[in-house]
Amino acid sequence: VIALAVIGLFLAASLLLGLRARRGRDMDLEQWSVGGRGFGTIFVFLLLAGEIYTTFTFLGASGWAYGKGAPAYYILCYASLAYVLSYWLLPAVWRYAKQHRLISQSDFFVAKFESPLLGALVALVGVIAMVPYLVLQLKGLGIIVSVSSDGMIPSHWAIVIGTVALTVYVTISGIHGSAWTAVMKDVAILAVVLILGIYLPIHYFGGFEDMFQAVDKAHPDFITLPTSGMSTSWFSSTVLLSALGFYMWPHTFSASYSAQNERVFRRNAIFMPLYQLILLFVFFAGFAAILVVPGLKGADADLSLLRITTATFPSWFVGIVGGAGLLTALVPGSLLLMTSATCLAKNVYRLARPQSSDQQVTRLAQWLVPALALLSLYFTFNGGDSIVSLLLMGYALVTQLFPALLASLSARRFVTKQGAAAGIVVGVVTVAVVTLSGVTVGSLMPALPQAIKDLNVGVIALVLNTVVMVAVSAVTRTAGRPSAAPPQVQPEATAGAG
Amino acid sequence: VNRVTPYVLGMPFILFWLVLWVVLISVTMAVIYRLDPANREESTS
Repeated sequence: VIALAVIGLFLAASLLLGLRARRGRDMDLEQWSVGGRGFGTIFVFLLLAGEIYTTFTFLGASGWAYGKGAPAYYILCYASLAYVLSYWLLPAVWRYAKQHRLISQSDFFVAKFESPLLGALVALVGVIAMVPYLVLQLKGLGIIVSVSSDGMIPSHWAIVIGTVALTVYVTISGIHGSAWTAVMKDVAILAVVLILGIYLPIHYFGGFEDMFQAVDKAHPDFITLPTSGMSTSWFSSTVLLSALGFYMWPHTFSASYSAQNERVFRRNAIFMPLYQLILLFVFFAGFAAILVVPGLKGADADLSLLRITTATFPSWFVGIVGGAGLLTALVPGSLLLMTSATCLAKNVYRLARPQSSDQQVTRLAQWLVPALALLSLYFTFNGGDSIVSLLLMGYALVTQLFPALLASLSARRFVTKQGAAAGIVVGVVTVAVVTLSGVTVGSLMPALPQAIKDLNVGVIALVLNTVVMVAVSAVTRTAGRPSAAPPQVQPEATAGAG
Repeated sequence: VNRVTPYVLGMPFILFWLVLWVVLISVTMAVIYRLDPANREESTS
């Protein structure tokens, strides 16, 4: 009961912060979804870093350490690579977005390729990828509240209550709500993760090394990568794929629009990798749970962190852990909801009814929030995948946008809008077919060496995507005359002016 | 690299190796930030 009260307090505080953040602001679509482009280093850091510290990190990373062992390390690696990429990628994106007053990720493709249809396609791909991500947050939310309340609140009700809270503050405050709740979330989660990751191994095993030795003894080969299946080649390809996809998430992409200037990104590229190291402590907690609360199978591995917490700590602390976990679901969830709604309203609805006013689009975006929340609720109650599998699927989908984006940034335009669209469609269809039928590279081509068989299937989709993109571009470029050069200012020209 | 021993800072070697690279990435980015002419202008840009 104490645990529940503490969680309730966290929920109330986040709602209050979210609602207060609105004060004194006129909410047009630009304020609502990109904060009037006025966020400095710290807010952008928290919004973008907040993307990492989701329920996925909290429950998924520890769950994978618990259930699969070493393959979980990939989570530590991909974001660091993504930050390296961001140093060059985000300033270019931000500059272009600011010049053209873009709001969503799809706007970027519309402007670059001069094709609203392509924008609608990108919006749809983004929303489809975001649904599993949102489902993952809701699932985590349900687990957190039901486990830390000792089953007093069934996870169904927890999910419903959480979704309502989320919807209310996103609809009213937009990104300002997310930014302020992100501050609270990061403080809470850092404290909790450090405490758990340091205390648990020492309390149960006497130290980190002792813990790993104990795990190694009980489950040989568990803390290194296996030779087949999730082997080193799976590891590398997954890290690479996730790193490329990292900024392709529509919500991460458009959260970057909210920065004040481009140096914000460069500075963040230094500190974000270090922030990743906090994940180590999540792994530690997961490894400790292997021996302390054994026997959780399959998707239940996601429960491991909370089980070991309830087994170790007094009720009030369980409440704090639960509350922090709640925030990790709410903040990313709110960004996801908001971005999907903006994309649909602006890039799909606008295309269907070009004469609609800005006000109508803003209103529609706000109404889409509860609609999308309901849709995700439906999927949450009707699916059984573990948290990391859901995320990997979403990543495989959004990564398909990367080749087209990269092509659009180069000064010499080789890729046409038809090429970009064809590449994206082929990539997404490949991911869908592969995910639904459950094939792997190995089952398609059993003769190949093990290292190739273990590649993440998203890589194949990405290769097909790029090949089709280049091929179709070559054809459409020679067939029809290339359309007039877009009125774009070269990024290099503005860089020096600063 | 994919092995348990030796333990460094209490971590199996593979985990330590990955952590080491994450830190090195951060250091590298700091150096690049210093050297990058795009960041040379006065801080009010």
